[in-house]
Amino acid sequence: MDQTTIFLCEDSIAGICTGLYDASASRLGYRRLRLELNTGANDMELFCRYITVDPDPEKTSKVVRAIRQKISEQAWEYVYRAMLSAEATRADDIYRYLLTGFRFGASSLNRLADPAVHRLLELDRLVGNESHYFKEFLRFESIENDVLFARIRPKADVLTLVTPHFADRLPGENFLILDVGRGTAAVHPQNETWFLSSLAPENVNDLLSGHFDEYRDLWKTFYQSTAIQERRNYELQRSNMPLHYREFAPEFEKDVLR
Amino acid sequence: MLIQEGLTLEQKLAILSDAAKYDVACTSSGIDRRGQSGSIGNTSACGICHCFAADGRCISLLKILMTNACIYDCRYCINRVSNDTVRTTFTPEEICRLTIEFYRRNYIEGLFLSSGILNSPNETMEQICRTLWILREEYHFRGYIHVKAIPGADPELIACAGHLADRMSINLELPTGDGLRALAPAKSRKKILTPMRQIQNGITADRSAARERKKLKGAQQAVLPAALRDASPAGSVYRTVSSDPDTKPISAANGPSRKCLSSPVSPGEIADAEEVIPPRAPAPADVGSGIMPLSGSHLAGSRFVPAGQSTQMIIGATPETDRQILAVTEALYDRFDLKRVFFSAYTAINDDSRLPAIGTPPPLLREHRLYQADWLLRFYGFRAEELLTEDHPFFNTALDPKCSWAIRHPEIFPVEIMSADYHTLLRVPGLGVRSARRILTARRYQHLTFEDLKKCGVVLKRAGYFLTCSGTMYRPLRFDPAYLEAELAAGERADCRALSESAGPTGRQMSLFDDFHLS
Ligand code: SF4
Repeated sequence: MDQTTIFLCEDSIAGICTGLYDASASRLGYRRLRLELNTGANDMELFCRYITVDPDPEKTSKVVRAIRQKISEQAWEYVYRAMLSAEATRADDIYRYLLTGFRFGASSLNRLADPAVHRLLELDRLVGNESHYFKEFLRFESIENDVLFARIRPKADVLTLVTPHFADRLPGENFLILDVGRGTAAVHPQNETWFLSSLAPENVNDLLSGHFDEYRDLWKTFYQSTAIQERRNYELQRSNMPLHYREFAPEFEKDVLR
Repeated sequence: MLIQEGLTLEQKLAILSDAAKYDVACTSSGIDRRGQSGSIGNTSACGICHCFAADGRCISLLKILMTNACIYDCRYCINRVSNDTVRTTFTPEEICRLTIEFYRRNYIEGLFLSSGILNSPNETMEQICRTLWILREEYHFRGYIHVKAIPGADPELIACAGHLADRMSINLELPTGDGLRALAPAKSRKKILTPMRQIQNGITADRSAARERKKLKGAQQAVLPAALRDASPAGSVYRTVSSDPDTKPISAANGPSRKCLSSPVSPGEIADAEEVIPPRAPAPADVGSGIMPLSGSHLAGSRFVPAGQSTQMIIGATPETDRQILAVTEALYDRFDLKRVFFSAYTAINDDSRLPAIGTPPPLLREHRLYQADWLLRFYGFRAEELLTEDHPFFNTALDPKCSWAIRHPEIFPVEIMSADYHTLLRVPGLGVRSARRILTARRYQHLTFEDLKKCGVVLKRAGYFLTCSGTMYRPLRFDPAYLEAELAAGERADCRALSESAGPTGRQMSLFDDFHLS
């Protein structure tokens, strides 16, 4: 029996891209290899060979260039978003798609009945939907010096997809969006370009303490009075705005003293 | 009327948003407008919902009345002068502050400003214009604005509002002129349709002017050295529309013929209005206004109602049939070029012998069916008279309008997946715009089986009854309408529960997004 080789990639763009590079350079063939993300707690299979992939900027840029030039710009966009997804199998899913992609070029994305293409589009859609949800449901709060501060807890790593929307919309604001789960923050200084940074959870409380934002209450008032009681429908409300997205929305906050 | 003085902003907001809650609006099918430095806001064509209220309806705009101190006495309205409620009015400053502060916090996409009649239609419209003016010019707000045109206000004022807003609407209120006469004596079909026509003409004129500008710019750019092209003053107009606003997903011209303008049901005064109101009234886009300094400001170059015009009808307050309502809807799309017609299930709030008794539940299923049918008119190439007939003037409560239509047409089905054209695929129950497009794309590359369709994400639960792959059916069956109706209705019940009898603009715009923006 042929042994399967598993490429353990670091969970990052460079990690996955390097894994794609090493897997294809290994010439093992798609039947005998698999990509996995190194979670530190992977279930080791007995009859598999494991290769840990070291992220490598040069290999990464080669992979990116190959996708953009040999498949298409659009394919790279899909692959990029797929890499941000939270699906455990994403590295391998992308590898499977690239087999089709490099074979058929730009038109590969139209081969909807190909399971690998279908899966890539599915990942893209998951990430696209989640980033759209956060454009809708993210809430800023005005803190010291009129800085706007928002917290999100996305499953996929959508911070870099969400922030440009707000940078375009609120060019004159100082704002900060924190991905609470990952500890990464997008910082947008007034009239400048935004950048990524990190923010430790213990600093969040400092940011929030001692500020009273009167518009939160006005918003809650509006949220209450704009609903038609005779049409009450919590099931519909929940399917339109899943609980997962309500965590930091003031209108769903229990009235406790903060 | 008791005008309450000394209310806090919060109290005013509670009163004036409660009073506006029956109005329907939606920011999708809008426009894309990028942000700009020195301004606040942008707009997105796919529509962004910011929250969902306890009734499941989308909250995307700060939906308020400027005042509920209305001098009219429309029977169905909570703000009618004969009701004993607390009256108050926002100042323009208050509205602007709320809009900007809500917008900064990402609570809303913009403002939906409606109003009761404050002393006179002109005074009301003027005050609305002033508010929008401050919001655009002093606060540099580039987000979405939907504003009501007040029936009876001067054309100059309506034109002014049109240059400041993204969308305008005038409520048709009731589907027929009879209904209007009975329930809203101060309004008439003519008073409503005249400004509607004015706005339509303004939009048409504005679009052709924009096309001319584009051509001109293209010609200029062709001779400009590349280095200078980007420096052309595209950003000097505060609102530009990146995508042509009149592209609809499926142009009506491609659908089954739209030449049948005289529908079997006379859409009442919609048709009469054509005589009263010349279709080519002077374009309001050119009309300046004595109130706002239109010329010499940004406004002079701004687009006119770039996100189009909409209207709204109350369903269930008067005895019209679904067929009449749908015929009126179609006439509004055909003759007034509306972007959306909204339906609002009547909530019985006033004690009035001419109206359903207080506590009568709002006809939500009926509203839902109308929205489904509206969707079929706008995106699927259906005509109103195909969906409802004299013998069947009401929608089937157990089946959606497309299914009901399909089982009445066994001569068309089943259709073959590899050869059916796009418009035929669109008529298959269970196939939407997205699935039909996917089938067209996928079949270019391979011979499709039912398994392949599933892999492409096409759901066969309903469509399976109406399709063949290489001559075989998904489920072996006779095409027996009675049997099919029972089968499909069973599936529909589950769907309807999930939808909870509410879709259209109250439903999530993501489905629209999914439907038209992906693959
Ligand atoms: S004009 Fe009629 S519908 Fe409008 S607020 Fe006044 S009473 Fe209500």
